Amino acid sequence: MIDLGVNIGSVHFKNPILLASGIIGFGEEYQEIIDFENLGGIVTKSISLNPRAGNKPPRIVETPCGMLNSIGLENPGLEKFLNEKVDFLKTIKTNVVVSVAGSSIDDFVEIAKVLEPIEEFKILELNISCPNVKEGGILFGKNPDLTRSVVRRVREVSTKNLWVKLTPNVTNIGNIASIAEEAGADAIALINTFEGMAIDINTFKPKLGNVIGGLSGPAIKPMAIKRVWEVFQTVKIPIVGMGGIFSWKDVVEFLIAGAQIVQIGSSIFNDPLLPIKAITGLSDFLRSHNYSSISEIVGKTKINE
Amino acid sequence: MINNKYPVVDKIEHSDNIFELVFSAPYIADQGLPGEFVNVKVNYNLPHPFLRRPFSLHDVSEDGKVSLLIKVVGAGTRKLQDCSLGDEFELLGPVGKPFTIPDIDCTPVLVAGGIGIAPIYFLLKRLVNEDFDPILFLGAKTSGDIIKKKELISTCNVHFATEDGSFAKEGFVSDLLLKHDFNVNEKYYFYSCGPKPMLKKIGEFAIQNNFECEVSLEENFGCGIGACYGCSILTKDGYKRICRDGPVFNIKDVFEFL
Repeated sequence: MIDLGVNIGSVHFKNPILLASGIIGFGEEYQEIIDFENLGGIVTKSISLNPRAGNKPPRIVETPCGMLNSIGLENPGLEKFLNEKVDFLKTIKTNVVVSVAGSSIDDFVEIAKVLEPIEEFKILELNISCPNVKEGGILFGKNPDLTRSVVRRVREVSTKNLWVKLTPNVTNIGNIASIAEEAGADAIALINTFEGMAIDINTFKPKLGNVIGGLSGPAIKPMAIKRVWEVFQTVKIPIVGMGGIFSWKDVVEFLIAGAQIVQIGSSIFNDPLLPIKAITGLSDFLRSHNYSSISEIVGKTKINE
Repeated sequence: MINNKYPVVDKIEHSDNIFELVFSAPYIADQGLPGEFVNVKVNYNLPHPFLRRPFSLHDVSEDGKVSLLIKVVGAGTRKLQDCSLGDEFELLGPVGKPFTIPDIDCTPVLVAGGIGIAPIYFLLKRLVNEDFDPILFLGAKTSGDIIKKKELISTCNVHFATEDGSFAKEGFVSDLLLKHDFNVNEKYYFYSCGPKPMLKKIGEFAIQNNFECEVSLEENFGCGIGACYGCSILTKDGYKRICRDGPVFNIKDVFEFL
């Protein structure tokens, strides 16, 4: 058996396959059908300081090879998260990455402070890229100054492994990634969804209650690969790659583009066993090509060779 | 709730665009209750159609068969219609909150519009099995869309309506129900599944007359098991997930938001 282990900072992942934020909530439902302990980790739904009701329905529309969503970060807020979700999350025998959202920099800082003493959570993922909320979210991730401030301020209060999740809806994602790196991020997670929209041609109404949403699924994979490859050339810290992973081959592609770890998102809805299949597929691929670890393929895209 | 592959053992065409797919799925047949549903994976080796399709349980049998009543509306349902006997599909389920079985002194009133008969039929059979004497109101656009006419007539007290008048009463089934003579001294328990305007009318009638009433709702699903909050709808207690907190809701919780 090939060792699929990866380290990011001081945190060890038994393999590079994680479940992305917003896909499995806080794990209670999917634990019935996915053995989380076989995965490198899971990322929680984003937690905000105060509860968020979420956006007006419909919140999901299928599109060719993907889907638009505008959930709007519906979540119980920090207090209920601590009271109702943390005990269960602590029982999961793999890395639990806590995704943090905020409508202000102070919100991010406050949540990071409160989570700091919880030893079981070794990683925070700052969601500065949600396209579906009016305040915070993508506004941070599109703005270099706000990105710098939020990462720096959280870094000051948190000793945890700090991942910053970026939006692809910017002109130069490499620039934003560099800023996050300078400000103290331990890894760059990319990408969040692409902004998108769908209109019903019979009613002339937007198909999403929120009018616009975020596009995910296999449709966005080439655009995600391109951005991972771009960011790999601009930062030295590890990359957590995601966007449209639908098979183990996609995982290999993200690793070659430069990701050390990947997250699988909405394709779980199609096939909840995909993460497990991806681990087996990745392992078989490495063995059949005589690689002994994933570091031998990470970032090894051959240009002009 | 489990995710498993099950073979298609029968396919019954009821009309041009309504068919019944029967799976050999013993776990679901054993566990499934009226009002619950399964999520069917319709793409294999291709990423489209991307999302699974939810279908209410239409019938289950003691020998492990599960039947889904499907109306062809798009690419996903067409793929299912095109399948052959022996083809296997992944079904995730059963999921959802089922209909409530009422006290035995109640008369269940079941109201289905169009493909809304899918879960209502399963509920009807369960209620008859448990010695209730249900009344069924079934409406459809046209005669050909009314499935299992003979069986329904022999099973319970049934009232049909078609919008084009090609069979039984012409008009909406909700209007037929409103004209029905309900006995003020009797306890009724209403169940309904169908288009929203119909659910509204039935709901209003039930609330006005103080009858219990449950409706089965639908929305686009993401995960279909309660994790993604993609199918949330407003209720009097805030947003609730149709796939996990529903699809069956008490009308009092959702009426003003229908």
